[in-house]
Amino acid sequence: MKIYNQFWWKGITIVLLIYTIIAGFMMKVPSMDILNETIRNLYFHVPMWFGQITLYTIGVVYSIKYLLITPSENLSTENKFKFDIIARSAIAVGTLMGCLGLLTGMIWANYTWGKPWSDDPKLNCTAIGMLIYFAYFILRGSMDDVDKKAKLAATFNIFSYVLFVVLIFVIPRMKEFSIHPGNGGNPAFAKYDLDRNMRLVFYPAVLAWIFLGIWITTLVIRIENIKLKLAFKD
Amino acid sequence: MSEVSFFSKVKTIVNKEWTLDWRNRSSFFSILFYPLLTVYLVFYSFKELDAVTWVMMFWIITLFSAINAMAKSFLQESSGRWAYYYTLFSPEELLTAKFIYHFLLLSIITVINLSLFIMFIGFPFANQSMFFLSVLLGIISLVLIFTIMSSIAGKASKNASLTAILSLPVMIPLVSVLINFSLKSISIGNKFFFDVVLLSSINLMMILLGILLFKFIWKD
Repeated sequence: MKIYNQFWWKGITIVLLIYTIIAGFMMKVPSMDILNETIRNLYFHVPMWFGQITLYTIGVVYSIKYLLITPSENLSTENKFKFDIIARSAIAVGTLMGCLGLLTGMIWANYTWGKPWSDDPKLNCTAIGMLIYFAYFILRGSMDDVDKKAKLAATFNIFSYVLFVVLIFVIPRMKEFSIHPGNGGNPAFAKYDLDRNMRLVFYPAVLAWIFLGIWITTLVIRIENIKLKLAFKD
Repeated sequence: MSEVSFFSKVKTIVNKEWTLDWRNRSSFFSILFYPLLTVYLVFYSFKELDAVTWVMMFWIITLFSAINAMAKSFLQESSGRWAYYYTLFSPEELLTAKFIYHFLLLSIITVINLSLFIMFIGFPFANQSMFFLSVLLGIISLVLIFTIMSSIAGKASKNASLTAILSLPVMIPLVSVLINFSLKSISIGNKFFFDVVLLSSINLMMILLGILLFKFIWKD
């Protein structure tokens, strides 16, 4: 049985998620100015982004696979389309997690910075990253030919992934000023206030949200695979 | 066909692009007319611009002139003509030719744009060589990204606005990098090293990815 169909990691996901929610709301957190209890959002907001990046990476790997592998005896055309399905589903779920990350971030910002959206390099870059992936779906929607759709979407995905990574990881760090932790000379949480107790929840939370994203993706892939099988039958 | 060199083929395609554009002069001049109109609009509404607004308006107008000029480049290629290209050129040759032609086109537009800005509003830069370096690197990035995105959009549908939808999200941060870079040339003594490296590496990356991926884009 393939690893993504096995039960054990889904069990771990459920346990870790329950642990994240219970321990995230119950355990002691360091009391800090301005942040106060909102620091608990760290267990939800930050892991969402980890999940998004993981899923986008899966997406780009399968896009490259789709472009490089040609159908042969070992691989039918139908199976080649499965790469496209994996890439598309991973990006869709990744974008969903990105939206949730933005949403939780905005709630957090509302209580700490005073308003949901400030003019900040990190926020702007993230918004642009989301726009790029919305454009990916608009590109897919503009075509009818399935083969062409998969191929052009895969090439666009490779370009956009490279630019997305540059935007998310390089540009926010080069700006002199940012209010977001971890950028522009601002220390990240890990530097001084992520104490041992918080790490006990934070690392499991990261794993839990990444696994949850992958789990949802596998479900979407299964639905899409059934649709593909039906399409090939006709 | 091997005796025909890479560069002579590229030259042929660039010539062909120019011939086609020159035959359709009204649309070619409308592309050049666009910066004139927008710069005059900016002058008319602002009257006087400080240096920061100067740089922002300059890059935004250049960006939209570039979209205007390049969006339909791949749209006018019919599928029959693509089939004809397959027999004549390799994807690298076609892409290089498109890059070069678009670069020349955008250079003309930028020169017009820049001279209009200087004429109407003035030139607030102390470190001129750095300003021109930022413009050069900037238009190369615009050309690379627009060419690739318009090739994808041109293959996907006959809708010119798709190019803008695909490339604008990428352009927003690029333009902000360019604005920062150009702003530093207002006074002498700012450090440019990081901007030059960043823009050059984005350009290099786009060229590499373009050459690697264009063969998947152009084949139906």
